Amino acid sequence: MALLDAVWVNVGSWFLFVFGLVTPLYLIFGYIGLTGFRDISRYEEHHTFYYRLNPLTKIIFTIVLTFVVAVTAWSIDLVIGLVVLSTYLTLKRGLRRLALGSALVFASVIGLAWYYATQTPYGLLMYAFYHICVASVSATPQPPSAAWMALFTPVWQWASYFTILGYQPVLTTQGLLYGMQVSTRAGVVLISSLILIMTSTPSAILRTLGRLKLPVVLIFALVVGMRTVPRIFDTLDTAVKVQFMRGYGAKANKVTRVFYLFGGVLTSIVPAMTFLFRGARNTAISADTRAFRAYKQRTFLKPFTFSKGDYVFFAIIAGLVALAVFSNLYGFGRAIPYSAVGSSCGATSTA
Amino acid sequence: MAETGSPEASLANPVDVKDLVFNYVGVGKPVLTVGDFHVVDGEVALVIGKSGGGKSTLVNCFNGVIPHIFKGNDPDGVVVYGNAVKQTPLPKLSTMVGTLLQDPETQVLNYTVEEEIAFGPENLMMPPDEIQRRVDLAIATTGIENLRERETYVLSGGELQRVALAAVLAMQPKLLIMDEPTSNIDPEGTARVFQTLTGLKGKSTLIIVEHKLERALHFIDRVVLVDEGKVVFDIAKAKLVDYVDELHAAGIDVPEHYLYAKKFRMDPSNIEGIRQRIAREGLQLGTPQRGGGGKVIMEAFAHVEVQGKVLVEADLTLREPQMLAIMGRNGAGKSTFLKAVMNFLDKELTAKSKLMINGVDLSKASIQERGKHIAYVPQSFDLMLINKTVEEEISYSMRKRGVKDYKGPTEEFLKLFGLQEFRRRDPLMLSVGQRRRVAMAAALSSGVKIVMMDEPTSGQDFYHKEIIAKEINMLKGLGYSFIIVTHDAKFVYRYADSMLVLDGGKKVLEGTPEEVFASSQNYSVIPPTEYYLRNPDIPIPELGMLGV
Repeated sequence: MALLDAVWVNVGSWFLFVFGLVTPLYLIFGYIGLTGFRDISRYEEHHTFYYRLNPLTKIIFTIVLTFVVAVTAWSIDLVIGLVVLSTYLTLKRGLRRLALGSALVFASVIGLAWYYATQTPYGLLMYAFYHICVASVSATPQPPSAAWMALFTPVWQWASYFTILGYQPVLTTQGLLYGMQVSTRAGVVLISSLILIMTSTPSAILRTLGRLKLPVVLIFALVVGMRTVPRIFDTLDTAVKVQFMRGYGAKANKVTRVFYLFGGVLTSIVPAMTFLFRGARNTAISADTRAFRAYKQRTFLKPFTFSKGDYVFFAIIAGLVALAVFSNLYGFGRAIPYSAVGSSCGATSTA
Repeated sequence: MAETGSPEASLANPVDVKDLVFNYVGVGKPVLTVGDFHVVDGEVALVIGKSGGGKSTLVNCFNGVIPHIFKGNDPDGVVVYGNAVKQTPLPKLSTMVGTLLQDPETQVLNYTVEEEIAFGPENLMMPPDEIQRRVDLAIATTGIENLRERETYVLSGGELQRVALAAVLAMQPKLLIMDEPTSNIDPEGTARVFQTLTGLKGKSTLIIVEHKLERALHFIDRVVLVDEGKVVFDIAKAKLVDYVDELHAAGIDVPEHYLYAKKFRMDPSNIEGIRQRIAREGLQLGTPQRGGGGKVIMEAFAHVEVQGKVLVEADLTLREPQMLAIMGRNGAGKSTFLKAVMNFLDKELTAKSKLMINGVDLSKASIQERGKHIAYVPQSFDLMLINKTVEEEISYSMRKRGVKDYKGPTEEFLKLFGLQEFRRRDPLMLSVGQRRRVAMAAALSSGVKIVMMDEPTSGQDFYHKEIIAKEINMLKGLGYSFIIVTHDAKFVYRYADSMLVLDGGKKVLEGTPEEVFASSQNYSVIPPTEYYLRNPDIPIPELGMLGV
């Protein structure tokens, strides 16, 4: 019986470990792929709602959304995320971008949630969920003590050697919720940032940031970055496929192919970057021989205007702020007081 | 020194060089030594020479890229419109000198055409009305009104290069420098760029660095040969025919009709007259040898569509040993066809393909499986070089396919491509020619007999093209066959055994170069002059449209 238990714990632990590692990797390399990343990281002209907005509105939206999801519970973040994600359908090639965006967000949520769920110390979870602060790690109740059992709901007991990987001895419901809290926040920010990238030309962003008096060099670096990112994915895609053609991954099957793709990307980084850096020299000449940095600021061909759509969007942003306030008033505020981490913990300890 | 706009400056030459000596940081030996050199207002100068001979370094001294971007010994002696380049800030120089580079992909920074053209005037803090005026003027000059609202990343190479030219013209420079402006674009795009430049003649001073001597000859005033960092000769165009030997010695591809113009003492621009004279004299011009009549080793068909729109529906047959060239304008579907054959296409494209190699059906095969029979060398061949040494790069494919005794074949390929002395070197640190040889050896080492090459001669000078041709011929002798996608009609005419032309994704012509070139002009595949010299019945297109 003990042997069966040991087998069960080991097999189960490794299955869960592989799940947490492979699912994001599979989604990123198996489903999205390099061409998917290219498609989700570049602007394509279209005429729907987002495309008509001033980039400043979208930047403000992303910033406000970041604050809103930081102060609300993960379930609310999840709903917000799904609503914003569904608006991808209005983008050019909306269905494909919705599928790619969903896969990317799901991959990051799973990856991050799994990491935090398994590795967050119990002491931090105690403070996050019960505002109980302990002065040191050695004083934190550990499973299977009664004090620990009173606070945590165990889901899975890891094989003992998993602690070497940084895992807590037992996976708990609280750990999973904490993981969801952190990852959904990151996911929502990712969703809104991609909207900015997919629906604004770099020049429009340059114009906006220029009005905000950001240094021209900094803005230009961002803009060239936006122009270059899709090209990086394109170049990597060619490099990896050429490797496949030369026999890399010759023994791969449908399941393991994704790992070969991952390996192929890693080995292609140096030649791809070398190739792109050679091109970057031309980019520098092209900009500098057209009077770039002649002055600290630039003028712009197109005026900086807000449309009716921008004002509608400002109302939506205001609604989000209201949602955050009401959520907190009704007990759906953030559950993780970060002051628990560090020396201030002892000063505010209630335990 | 005269200020721009002052009477002295307006009287000054566009370029005055006196005792220029330049070497890059860390390179002891000067890469450029020029005594006296001047460019006068309104003239069109063509700068020619081998790759690495110093052409680009020379013009970079005029536009301020040297010493303001590329550092060296801060060369004295270069004055542009009365302004010493060394002391004049780059933004100020950029209002006098415009620069168009070889690769439009890397010099276009913005997403829409209009924004790209406005970039320079915006940097100069001009009011919106003036920016708009300049944008409109630049668009009209380059004839790209139809592209105004387009996104730059969906444009063809030729369209993109005209956008880049418009963006330079919006700065309203008095001197325009073009560094191999048509190296990476198709014949149609090349013709349109030169058409625009012809229109600028007399309005601006132009300095063109170009491999395609033949293409530029009809509208230039002067030819400057730069080799090994020195100006070898600087002559009026009319005298070029007397310098054919010097051009040959410097590794420049001299148009064949120039040789006959010299022989018959005729005007080289009168190609029809030269052709008739050749016929009258009864001269028998040698014709390229075509081979490749062996057994069929590959049959491929591809049907590619996206959202119901057919992008490619074409087929090809390759014999052993053969060099088959695929030509067609940008966007004709050449690369998509090749990608479909290799199973490289994006997931969003729907493709049906059939591939038979030596009787084996590979239609459903993976990339790896196809790679056992076909090698692919991309245009940017550096992307293949992922190993730390040349030796590892060449043995890579065999190691990945589990070949145990790979050392012997690796040695053979090192020897075949003359790479033994570089075996321990990092491939990415070698010269362009060496890197290309490593890529080719690495592709062949997987045991294939069929090689697909994407634009192998793009951006290469005559000397390097000849080396590529020699390698291909040598490999054909060993039983290899090649499929080459190219815009280089002269290369195809000289070395291909057969060719096909794609247009709108369909195969429209197929046969030997002689057969196909007879009607390929309808699809923007324009034969080279040497084809016309040998085919007196084919009408010669206007100058500037000849295939090069």
